[in-house]
Amino acid sequence: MTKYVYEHPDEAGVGQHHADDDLAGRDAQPPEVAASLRAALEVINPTDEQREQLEDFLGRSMHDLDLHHGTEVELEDEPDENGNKVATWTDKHGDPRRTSFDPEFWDANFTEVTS
Amino acid sequence: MATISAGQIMTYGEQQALNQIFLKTQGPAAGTVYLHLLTNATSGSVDNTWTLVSSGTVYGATGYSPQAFAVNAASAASPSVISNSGTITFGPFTTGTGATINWGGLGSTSTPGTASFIVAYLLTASRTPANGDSLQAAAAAFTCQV
Repeated sequence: MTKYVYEHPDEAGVGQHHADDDLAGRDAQPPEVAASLRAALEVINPTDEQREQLEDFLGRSMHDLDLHHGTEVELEDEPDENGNKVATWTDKHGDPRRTSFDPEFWDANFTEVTS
Repeated sequence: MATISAGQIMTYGEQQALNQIFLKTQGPAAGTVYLHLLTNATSGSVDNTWTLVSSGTVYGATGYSPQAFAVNAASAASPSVISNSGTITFGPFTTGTGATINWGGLGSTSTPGTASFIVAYLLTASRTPANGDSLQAAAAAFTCQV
């Protein structure tokens, strides 16, 4: 797979570019999911470290999960069934991601990395 | 036509499991399975006899792609349980949002039309992402047991 780098003219993330408001103000988890996860954790009599790990997870915003300006991705050889480009990348938390992109948006904002 | 309401191994998955443990057939080589997102209604809508993920209504927003579903080994307990070993995050979704996601569908490939439907997971909370959103699930959020 070929490597590309995402570069937005205003340094906006992929999600932020398409959003109507600031992603930093959107919680990544809805309140009911957060409550459910906290309750499930308490059942196992967690350590303080486990509680901290959960709160760190629940404290993430949609901005935290976005594909940020400057991120390197690897383009898959074939588009998906909708004709969209598909690339894999690693987010700021170290989690593997796989995202599809409109071909026009891809051509405008992704540059092949030539090392 | 049997419908399902919670994380359940589909008929394809049940057959694969039984055929392998009874040494009837050689199972597929170890590899990657993928979690797809479906917008089918929460009840009376997902049939356990479906053989392909594409039999369901696959979420269609741009930005969405099925995610690799890494697992821990099945637990040494009865019933044995298997779950996702790491965080799974879809998106960011960019356009074409608005549909409500109710199901996760575990498939043998990343392409719905060729992915054998292994397990169906009913989401604890339905999600309707907006443009810019990602959809994240914690490790062990998706469990399956025999």
